[in-house]
Amino acid sequence: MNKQMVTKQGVFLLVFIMVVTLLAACSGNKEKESEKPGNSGDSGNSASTPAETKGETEKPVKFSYVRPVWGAATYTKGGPYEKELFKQGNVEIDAQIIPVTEYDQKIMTIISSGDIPDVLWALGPTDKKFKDMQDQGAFMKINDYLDKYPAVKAAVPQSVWDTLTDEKGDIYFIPNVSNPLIPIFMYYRKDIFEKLGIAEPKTTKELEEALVKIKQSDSKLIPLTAQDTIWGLGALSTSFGFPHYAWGPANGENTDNPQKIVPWYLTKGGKDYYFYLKNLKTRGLLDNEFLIAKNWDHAKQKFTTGKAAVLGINWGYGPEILSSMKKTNPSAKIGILPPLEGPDGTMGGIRPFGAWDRGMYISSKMSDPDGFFRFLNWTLTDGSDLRRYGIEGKTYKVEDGKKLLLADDDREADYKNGQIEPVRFINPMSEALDWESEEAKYKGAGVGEFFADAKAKFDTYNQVQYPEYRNPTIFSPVEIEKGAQIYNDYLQTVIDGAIINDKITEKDWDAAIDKYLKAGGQNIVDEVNALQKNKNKPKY
Amino acid sequence: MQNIWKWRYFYLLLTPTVLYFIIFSYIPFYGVVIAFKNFQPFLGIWDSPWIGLKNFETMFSSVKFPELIRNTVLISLYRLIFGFPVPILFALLLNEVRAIWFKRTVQTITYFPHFLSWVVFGGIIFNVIGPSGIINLVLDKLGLETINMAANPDLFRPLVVITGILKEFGWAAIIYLAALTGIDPHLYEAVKVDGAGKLRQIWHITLPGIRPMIAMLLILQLASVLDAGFEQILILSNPVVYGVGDIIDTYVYRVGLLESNYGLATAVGLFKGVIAAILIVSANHIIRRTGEKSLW
Repeated sequence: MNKQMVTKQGVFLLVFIMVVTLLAACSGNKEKESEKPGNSGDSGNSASTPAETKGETEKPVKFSYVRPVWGAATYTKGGPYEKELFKQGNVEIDAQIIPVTEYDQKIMTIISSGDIPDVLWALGPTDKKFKDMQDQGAFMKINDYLDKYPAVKAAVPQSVWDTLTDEKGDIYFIPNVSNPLIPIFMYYRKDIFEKLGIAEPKTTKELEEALVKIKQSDSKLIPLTAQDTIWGLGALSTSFGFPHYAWGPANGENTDNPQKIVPWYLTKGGKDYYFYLKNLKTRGLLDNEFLIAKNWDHAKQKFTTGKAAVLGINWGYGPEILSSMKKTNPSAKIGILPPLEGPDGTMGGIRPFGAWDRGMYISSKMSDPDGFFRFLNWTLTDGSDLRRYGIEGKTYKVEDGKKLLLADDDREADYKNGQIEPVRFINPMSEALDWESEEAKYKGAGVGEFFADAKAKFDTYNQVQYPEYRNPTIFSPVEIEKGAQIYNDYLQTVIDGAIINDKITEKDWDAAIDKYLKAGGQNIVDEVNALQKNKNKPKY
Repeated sequence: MQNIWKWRYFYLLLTPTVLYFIIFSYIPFYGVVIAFKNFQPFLGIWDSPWIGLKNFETMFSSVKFPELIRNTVLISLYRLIFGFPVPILFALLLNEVRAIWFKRTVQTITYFPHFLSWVVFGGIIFNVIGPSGIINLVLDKLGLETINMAANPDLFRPLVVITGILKEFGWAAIIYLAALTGIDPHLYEAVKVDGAGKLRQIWHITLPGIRPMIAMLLILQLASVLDAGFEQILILSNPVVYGVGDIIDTYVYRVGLLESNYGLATAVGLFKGVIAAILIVSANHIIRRTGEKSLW
């Protein structure tokens, strides 16, 4: 073979490889619909009958799934719990997780591609963005599947389904229902308080004085810290008489039957609360990493390792915190502060969450929606035990015939929450607050003796409520058009920075609010008030 | 035509490259129409409604726009002034190292941060400069007052520039090191005969040898003056430093992407593209007028 021939062949080969590579880069990586396992040929617009599905159960249901995780983002595919779930549920889930703090941002980026996973978590139709996507046909209508799979329908109260039903009578969203009456607790080091002769605070003023004493006694000890964002100090916010991150009665309005509702940052309580915290921060009484630290767990870690004296956090973390503390410092005594009375005599309590916290949409392009609903129904019926308790000896133990969940620290790495949460779906409302199950959590974590106090405080907090007054299905046209922009332009720097930025003063807050209202904020308030006729305090 | 046939194998070799640019650089230009539409991803580009220049109005009417432009341009200029010379100096220094093992070790260590994402590198930075970071730990142990560098508006821009340099200077020096190897060794011998020391050799031989490369990279960097480092700023910033750190891209991310206002994001992208084109043409023109080798 002469040299010229070799060169020619080399050129052809090179060009061939380059073109093939180019084409490979251009092609999608999705399996052909017809090749997708579990494809029942269902177009997704109508559910097959239960009798038809019986013969299909041998073929595992496959789907992709994106969800947020509240716990550690340490999921590794192929773990033993996942394998057990796949085996028992006859399913293969391609799960992808996103830490909850980044979820709302990242899911929008995924959606912007127009190529969405089969099942994804989202805020639901009470957020206009998702309502628009529903209307554009991005997600699957699920009415027929709810009729076909009664356990899924029964998992959610009818009032919630009614709220989620659109103007045409269609439902697209499966909500992750939860008990809205979840208090944020303030755990404190009783032993430190006792040593310093500090009585349990009953007011925000007394709390402030206690924090000062702690600071004076040990400059290295952080007097007050709080989980992640400002939600961690939710208990404290209620002492200022406003519903944080929600709409509530305007200043001077009757709280049971207000004539006008406004966003929290337009209330006196909202502003007073932020500048109360700012004052604590300036005096070194509030964690200097508050709202700055990048790791979600920093406050919890500080408290359980003895670096902080008071911790604000969702009550659900109780067993974990108490169990960790028992191991790291067995002599430490932990207490839970009662709701505090605010500066103007307002009694603290809880800010009820919504009836659901996000939920799931199913892509309108999903090849086997019936298989997914069959699996979801199974998790709420025959698979209920695996969903609730996991695997005996690995995630729970049995004592006196009762199943007690093991604390995360007591589980093997493969069975920790980080491996289980990514393949979780929904829990029925009937399990949202089951005291027997809650007690089992405390006992399983080895801190059963704390349960009675936690339950008593739970009840005390729930006596005073500061709920969201705005109907989430009402959209203000001005808000849709430019709400995000004017909030970003005028308020975000001031609100996000008020507590931690020394340069932001009350005057700046007032000026920003004034500009926001003039730029369209007032129109938003007026429109919401005009559209929402019933402004009575919601009852839970 | 005869010439094309004569050089057919070269044209054939060129074809995949041309195809690549057509497919990945020119066909996506179609997406620019999103800037003039209320884009809804599930309706598709064409079926989304036209809204004229509304997305541009939204951007330019923002009261934050002057602040965003100021922050973006200032951070980019600081990067240019303080960051651009660093890889050149580093390459010059490394070029003079004679111990190969030392040279390679230093190169490996300095390249390494380039391969870390900003999420990881930002986490490391925070653990060094954060309120409970290493620096404050040392200051505390020495009995000195701690400094909250992560939440200090006066320090944020220097922090962005310095951490940006630290992460990328090793990688950026590669191209200069490659250019240095192309300098004729006889030139060094000649200048040594004339009695020049190390600094004179660098000044009269090395720097002129890599000057075309410096000019080219300067042109390219000028073109990206409106890209002040979105990922880095998103990772390092916090509410205290919004006033000095909020740039065009972070604003568009919040108001555009997060609110599914993709048209706004595209409009800003188009605006930045036009500015970049003007800057790159101007810079190229100026450099050509000064007698340096330009991009075209």
